[in-house]
Amino acid sequence: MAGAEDLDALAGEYVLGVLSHDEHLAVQRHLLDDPELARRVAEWEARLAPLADDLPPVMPRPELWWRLRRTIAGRRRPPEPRWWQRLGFWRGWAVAATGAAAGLAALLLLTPPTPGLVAVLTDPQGRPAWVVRVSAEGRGYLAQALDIATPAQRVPELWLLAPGRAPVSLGVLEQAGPSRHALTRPMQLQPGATLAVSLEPPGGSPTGQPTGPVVSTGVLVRDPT
Amino acid sequence: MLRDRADEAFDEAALASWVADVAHRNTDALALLYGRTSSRLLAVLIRLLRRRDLAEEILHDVYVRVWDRADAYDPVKGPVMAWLIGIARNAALDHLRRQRREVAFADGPEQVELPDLADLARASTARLALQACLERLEPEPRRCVILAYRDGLTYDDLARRLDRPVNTIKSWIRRSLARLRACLEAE
Repeated sequence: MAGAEDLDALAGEYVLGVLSHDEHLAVQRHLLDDPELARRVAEWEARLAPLADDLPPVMPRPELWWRLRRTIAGRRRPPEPRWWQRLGFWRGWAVAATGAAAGLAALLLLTPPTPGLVAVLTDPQGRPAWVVRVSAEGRGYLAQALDIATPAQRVPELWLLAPGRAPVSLGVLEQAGPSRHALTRPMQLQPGATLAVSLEPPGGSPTGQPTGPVVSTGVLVRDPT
Repeated sequence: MLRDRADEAFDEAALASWVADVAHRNTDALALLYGRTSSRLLAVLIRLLRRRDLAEEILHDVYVRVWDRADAYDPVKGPVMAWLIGIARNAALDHLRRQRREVAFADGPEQVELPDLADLARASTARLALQACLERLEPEPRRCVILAYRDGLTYDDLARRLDRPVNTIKSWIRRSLARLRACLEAE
């Protein structure tokens, strides 16, 4: 069982840069959405940074500043993710909820390196409604309802919206707790694909196409975890 | 000493306010931050990468990243300089890991001995505190920590360089990290 001390040792080893290539990348991936690990890494950076004081400063060539000016002049700041779009939020929440943080350091290193896809579907006001994670092989997905209220006698159904094609049903979702769904035929579930949830009669759309209102949409991106 | 501490606090406040302005896309603030910090980051990068041209390429990318992510800087987590050095070292370590780097250390200068007290006469209070804690470690584990941090040596590199089993190096480093942390927190 890995504890806080192991997590701290891992953070220190990561900052020193002594880990193997695979271990280093594993920690890097998990930093994105593990605030506790990120905090410990920042602490180690602060503890060890004074070692750099001993190196005599070296002035960059003056051209470098002007090149930097040109680079940033042509650059728009990447859109700031809203708090609910940051996977770390959901991750941290899930970890706290299950109290599973203790085994985290060991878990980090065991997580397979093939990432899947993930989409946060939001309602028209931008509030998060569903998180959908697609497995790396594309054989299934996991859907988690967030704070949603579905009218009585209606069920949420998930659709893949492909440009120039009719929506494809990915199944009826559970409103309570996460639900796991198999994908029986190959789907074009690639980064950038749009997912949507519509409200349908119990059992799902009778026509094979959305019949009710679309209540949330989101775009699949590579799962950074 | 008190005066030094006041100067350091003043410097830190200036750096933090520039980072806050950079987060609002103020290029003058970036110029000030760059002017104050780039020569120190370049020294770190040259030390890790052993090539000045490459180090300047990565220095450019580091400040582009600072421009993009200045809003992610959180003063609670540590001083500005530590944050900047963290970004620079990460970029350099990523580069070193991408190109397998067997040759990189063959011709590098070997300047890993701790500077003696004369060299630390003008050191920051944080540097002096770290020094006091480093001096409590055994010489070989201490050397490993410094080689890893400054020269980017991994466990495998250290085992080869010091001709010791990897597991010995690992236990030295882990024990050293735990002792450093306890010592610095006791300060």
